[in-house]
Amino acid sequence: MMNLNRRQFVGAMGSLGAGSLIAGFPSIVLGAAKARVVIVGGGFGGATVARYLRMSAPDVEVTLIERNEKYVACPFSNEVLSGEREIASLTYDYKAHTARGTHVVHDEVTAIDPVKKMVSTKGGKRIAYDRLVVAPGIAFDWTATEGASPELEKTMPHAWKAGENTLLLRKQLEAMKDGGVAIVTVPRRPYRCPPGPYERAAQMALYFKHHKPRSKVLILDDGETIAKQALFEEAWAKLYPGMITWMSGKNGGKILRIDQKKRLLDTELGDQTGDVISFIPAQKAGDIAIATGLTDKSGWCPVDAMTLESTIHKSIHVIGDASSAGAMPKSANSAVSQARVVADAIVAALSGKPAPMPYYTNTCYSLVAPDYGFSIVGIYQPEGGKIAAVMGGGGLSPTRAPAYVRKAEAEYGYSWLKNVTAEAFL
Amino acid sequence: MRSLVFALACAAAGSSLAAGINEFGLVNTCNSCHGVGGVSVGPSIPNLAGLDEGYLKRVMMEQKKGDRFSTIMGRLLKTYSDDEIAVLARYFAAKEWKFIETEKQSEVADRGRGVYRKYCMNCHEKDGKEKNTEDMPRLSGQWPGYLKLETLKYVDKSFTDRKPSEKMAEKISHLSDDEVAAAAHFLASRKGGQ
Ligand SMILES: Cc1cc2nc3c(=O)[nH]c(=O)nc-3n(C[C@H](O)[C@H](O)[C@H](O)COP(=O)(O)OP(=O)(O)OC[C@H]3O[C@@H](n4cnc5c(N)ncnc54)[C@H](O)[C@@H]3O)c2cc1C
Ligand code: HEC
Ligand code: HEC
Repeated sequence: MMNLNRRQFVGAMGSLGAGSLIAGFPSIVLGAAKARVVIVGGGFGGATVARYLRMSAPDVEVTLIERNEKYVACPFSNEVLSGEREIASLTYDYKAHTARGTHVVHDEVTAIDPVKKMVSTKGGKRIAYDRLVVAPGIAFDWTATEGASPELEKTMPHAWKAGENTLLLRKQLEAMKDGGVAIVTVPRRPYRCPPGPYERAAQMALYFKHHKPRSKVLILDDGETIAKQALFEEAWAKLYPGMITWMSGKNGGKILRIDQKKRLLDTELGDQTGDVISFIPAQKAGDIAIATGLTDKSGWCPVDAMTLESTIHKSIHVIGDASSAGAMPKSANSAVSQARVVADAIVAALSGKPAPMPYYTNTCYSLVAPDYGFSIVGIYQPEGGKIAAVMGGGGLSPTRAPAYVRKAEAEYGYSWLKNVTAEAFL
Repeated sequence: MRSLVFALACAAAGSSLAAGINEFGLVNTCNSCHGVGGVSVGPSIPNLAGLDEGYLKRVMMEQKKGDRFSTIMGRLLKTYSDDEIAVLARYFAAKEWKFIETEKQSEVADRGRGVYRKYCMNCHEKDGKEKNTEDMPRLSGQWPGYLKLETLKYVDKSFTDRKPSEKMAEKISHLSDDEVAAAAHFLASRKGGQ
C-alpha cells in the first residue's frame, strides 16, 4: 500500500471542488498581460502539454514550435516492418492544435536564452516566454561506437525515429533472401522504449514466418537483462521457435567497432554480420537541450521531481525522452504523463500557487503478433527529490497466460494507441 | 513522517482527505487508455463517462483487490487509495454518456438483436429500459470490441478465471464467438437503449 499522503495535494488548490472547470484548474489572474507558454517540440510530450493548457487554462497564450508539419508516431511502428501496418496510420498533423487556439509554428528552434527568456528559430523568429517547455526527444550519439556515423542510417537503418527510415528497413527486409539473417542491435541504457528492440525482433520474425521461413533474427545487446524478459522469451519460443537469438553484452552482444564497408559488427566474441542490420545507436537528449546547457554529464536533462522544471535553468521544464525522469522509462506514455504534470505545474506557478502533487504513470504494450500482446504498468511519485516507482504498484502481465488474455491485451494495446495519439494530436 | 505532515496540513486547511486530492492529476491518468474525459476512441477500451457512480466504484474496488479479473486495471489500481477511487468514480459518472458512432452492418445487427432478445435482455433490461445501476452497467452505445471481449470471458474456454456474474455464465456459456460478436455489434450500434 502506498502512503495516502504521497498522493495528496498539500496546497491552496486542495480546496477546489469537482465543479470547477473541466480539469479542475482555477482561472488564472495574471494582470493585464497574458502569460506566455512556449513549447519546443511537438511530439507526444510537447503536443500533450499544449492540449491540456488550452483545455484548462484558456487565458494562457500557448505557442508550439515543431520542426516538421507531420509527426510520425513510433509506438507500434515495428508493425510496419512485419507488414501488419501502414505508416500512414501513425501519421498526424497539428490542425487540431491550431483549431484549439495554440499558435503552431513550424520552424526549428536554434537557440534558447534562459536569461532573456527568449527562443530563436532558424526562420529568424524570436519568441518570448514566461515558461518554456523543452520536449525535443532524443538525438543519436554516434560517437558511442567506434566506426559508427550518421550515414549508417542508410545502410543499417535504426528506424528509431519513425518515418522514412522505418520504410527503408521494411524495404531491406522485403529484398532479403529466404534463409538470411536480420540483426537488431540494442544500445547502452537508457534509450527510448526499453522493450522496443525485442518487439522489433518479434515483428521481423512474424514477417519471416509467413514469407521467408528459413530466415533468422539475431539480437546483439549492449545489456545483460531485457525489459519484460520472461514474457518475451516465452513468446519468442511459442510463436517463433528457433528463429530469434538474443545475445547479451557479455555473451557476444556488445558491439565494440563497426566496419561499415564490410558490414561487420565486431564484438568481444568475434565478428557478426547480417543480411539486414538495424543498428540502433546510443542516445542522448535532443540537440537543442544540449545546446541550451540543460543536460548534465549523463547526456539527459535533470529535472525537479514535483514540477519537471530543469534543475539547471529556472522557468524551463523538460519532459519526455530528453528528461532524466528517475525511474520512468523513456516512452510515449511517460512523455504524455509528464506533459499533464507540467501543464498542471505551470498553471499553478503562473497563478502563484504551490506545485500540485504530481501523478506519474506509464504503460507499455508490446505486440509480438496481432493476437499476442502483453504490458507493463509503472506508477511513480516524488520520493527524496527523485521520481521513484511506488512500492507494490504496477507490474508485468503474467507469463503462462491463456490465449484469451494475450489476444485481449493485443486488442487493448491497439486501443491504447488510438487513445494516446488522440490525446496528443487530435 | 509524511502522513503526519499531511495530516497537519489537512487539519490546517480544514479539508477532508478526498478534498485534498489533486483531481486534475488523478483523473487524467486514465486518458491514455480510456480517452480524454473517459470518452474512448479505441474499440476495445470502454467509455467511462456516464457510467453509474456506484458501478464504477464497485468495479474498481474489486479490480484493486484482485477480486475481479482484469488484464491491467488491477495492476494499475493496486496503489490507488480508496478515496482516490471514489473521486474517480464520481468524476466519470458526472459526465455525459456518449453513444459511440459505428457503421451499422444490418445483417450482423439483426442477428445480434436475436441473440440479445433471447439470451441477454431478461437480465439487462427492466420494463423495456436498459439498466444502468451499481449492479449492472449500460451496454448500448459502448464500444463493440470491449463488449465482445467482456462477453467472451463467459464463452471462451481458455478463460478460466471467475466471471463477474456467475448467473450470466450459466445462461450464455454455450454461445459461439460469432453470436457474441453479433450481440456486441447490435448493442454498440443501438442508440438510446432502444
Ligand atoms: C520502435 C519504437 C517503438 C516504440 N513503442 C512505444 C510504445 O509502444 N509505447 C510507448 O509509450 N512508447 C513507445 N516508443 C517510445 C516513444 O516513441 C517515445 O518515447 C516518444 O516519442 C517520446 O516523446 P517526446 O515528446 O519526448 O519526443 P518525440 O516524440 O521524439 O518528439 C520530439 C519532437 O520535437 C521536435 N524537435 C526536436 N528538436 C526540435 C527543435 N530544435 N525545434 C523544433 N522542433 C524540434 C521533433 O521534430 C519531434 O517532433 C517507441 C519508440 C520506438 C522507436
Ligand atoms: C493502460 C491502459 C488503461 C489505463 C491507464 C486505465 N485503464 Fe481502465 N481499463 C483498461 C482495460 C484494458 C480495461 C478492461 C479490463 C482489463 O482487462 O483490465 C479497463 C476497464 C476499466 C473499467 C471497467 C469498465 C466496465 O465497464 O466494467 C473501469 C471502471 C476502468 N477501467 C476505470 C479506469 C480509471 C478510472 C482509470 C484511471 C485511473 C483507468 N481505468 C485507467 C485499460 C486502462
Ligand atoms: C443472468 C443474468 C444475465 C444474463 C442472461 C446476461 N447478463 Fe450480462 N451481465 C449480468 C450482470 C449481473 C452483469 C454485471 C456483472 C458485474 O459487473 O458484476 C453483466 C455484465 C455484462 C457485461 C459487462 C459490461 C461492462 O461494462 O463491463 C457485458 C458486456 C454483458 N453483460 C453482456 C451480456 C450479453 C451480450 C448477454 C447475452 C448474450 C448477457 N450479458 C446476458 C447479467 C446477465
